[in-house]
Amino acid sequence: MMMFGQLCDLSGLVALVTGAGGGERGGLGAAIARVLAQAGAQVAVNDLALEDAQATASMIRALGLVAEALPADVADPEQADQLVARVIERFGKIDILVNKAEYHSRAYRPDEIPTEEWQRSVAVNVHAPFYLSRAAVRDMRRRKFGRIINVSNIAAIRASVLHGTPYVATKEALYGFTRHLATEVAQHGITVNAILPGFVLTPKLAALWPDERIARLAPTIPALRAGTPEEIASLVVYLASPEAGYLTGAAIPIDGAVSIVPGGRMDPDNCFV
Amino acid sequence: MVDEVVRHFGRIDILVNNAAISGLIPAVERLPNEIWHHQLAVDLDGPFYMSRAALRYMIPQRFGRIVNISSFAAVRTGFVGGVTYTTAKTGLLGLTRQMAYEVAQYGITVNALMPTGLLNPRVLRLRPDWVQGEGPHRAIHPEEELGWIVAHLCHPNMTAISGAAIPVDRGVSNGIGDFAELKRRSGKDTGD
Repeated sequence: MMMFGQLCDLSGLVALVTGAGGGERGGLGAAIARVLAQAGAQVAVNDLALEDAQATASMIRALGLVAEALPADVADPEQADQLVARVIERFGKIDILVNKAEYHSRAYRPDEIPTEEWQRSVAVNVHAPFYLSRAAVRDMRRRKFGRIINVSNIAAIRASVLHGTPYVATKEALYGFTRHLATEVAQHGITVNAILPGFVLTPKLAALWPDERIARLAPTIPALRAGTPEEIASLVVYLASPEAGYLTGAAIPIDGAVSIVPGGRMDPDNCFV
Repeated sequence: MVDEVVRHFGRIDILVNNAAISGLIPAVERLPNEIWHHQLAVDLDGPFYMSRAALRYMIPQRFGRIVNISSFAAVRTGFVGGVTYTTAKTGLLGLTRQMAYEVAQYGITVNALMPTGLLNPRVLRLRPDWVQGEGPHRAIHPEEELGWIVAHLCHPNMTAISGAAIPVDRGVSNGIGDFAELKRRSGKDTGD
């Protein structure tokens, strides 16, 4: 009989988390990488810049856990393929892929969005998860086990005030990708899910936003507070675990119930850049 | 193209983003970059570029109607198309919702239709066995049924529906699907 203490044990599993740099001052990806390692996984930490990836890898190693920094631009198909190859070279396999790297488009009015802003959003938020999943699935299906977790956003089911059309369109496209891939790889013991975080107070965001702006947001959320990176990472650990084998193709909001609050009209003075 | 329309007709009021690529493609692990990029460019980038161009005229004139032809694949998966189709058609719902939210203040509505079981002449030619015949589950007629819905959404009085993703499926697509049967009938590479 399985004991509760053994649930969600990721020992012996290898994880790749993209966009996970920054260490103690990082965003959600850094927290996901750390908590996966704390659950027992060996973690490959990806970000664009080597020093960012190293900051998270060092933070994890300081806890006596296993991590390796692997920088790459995941929106480049060759670099994405090489990244998965390097994970397999270093750890022998890949069990868990967390597509966290994302591009936040600015909130231009739809008729004023620069083409580059659209294309970079599609490249990082949609193309990159495809390149990485394609490469990872080739390894996962051999061992009849794999967990792909795509970090989307509640923008995939609502509208966004902060990030505009490219972000919403691409985060919802990522959910479509999640669903389709889930049907194709379910037979190989591979699950594919999307998580839709709401407002999460990461160290990176805390440094960017003034305290009063953060304080103003809290009462708009039914939970009356932002989520913590650890709360989001715990869901990732569950989805990555062997126990979650029948949960696939889902998009799970994790947002203190904010995405089910009825919304209001656009305030044009407060959103466009 | 939008500039051309305005040169010819003097204005643009209605944009229907219907152009799309579908068709059988390999499973994800065998899918080449070229197919992925080309289909996403047509099915997702295309509607964005067209809408952006049309909004440059619609916003100043304080009127516009955009209808995006998505697919029921946007809430399930596309068995006729592959991963690119499902991804792009789902992204199209996000494009629809956010644009609708942002341009509502200018008298512009943006909606998406999610048809399935459309009487597509190309499909009819290639796979006559897919067409369900007459009766309550008959295929949806592109002009007489889909076109009629588009025309209604584009009516100047139709101001209250925006950001919607409307299933056009005769109400039957919420049934639980049969994976083996869909695989058999579509001939889709599902990564076996």
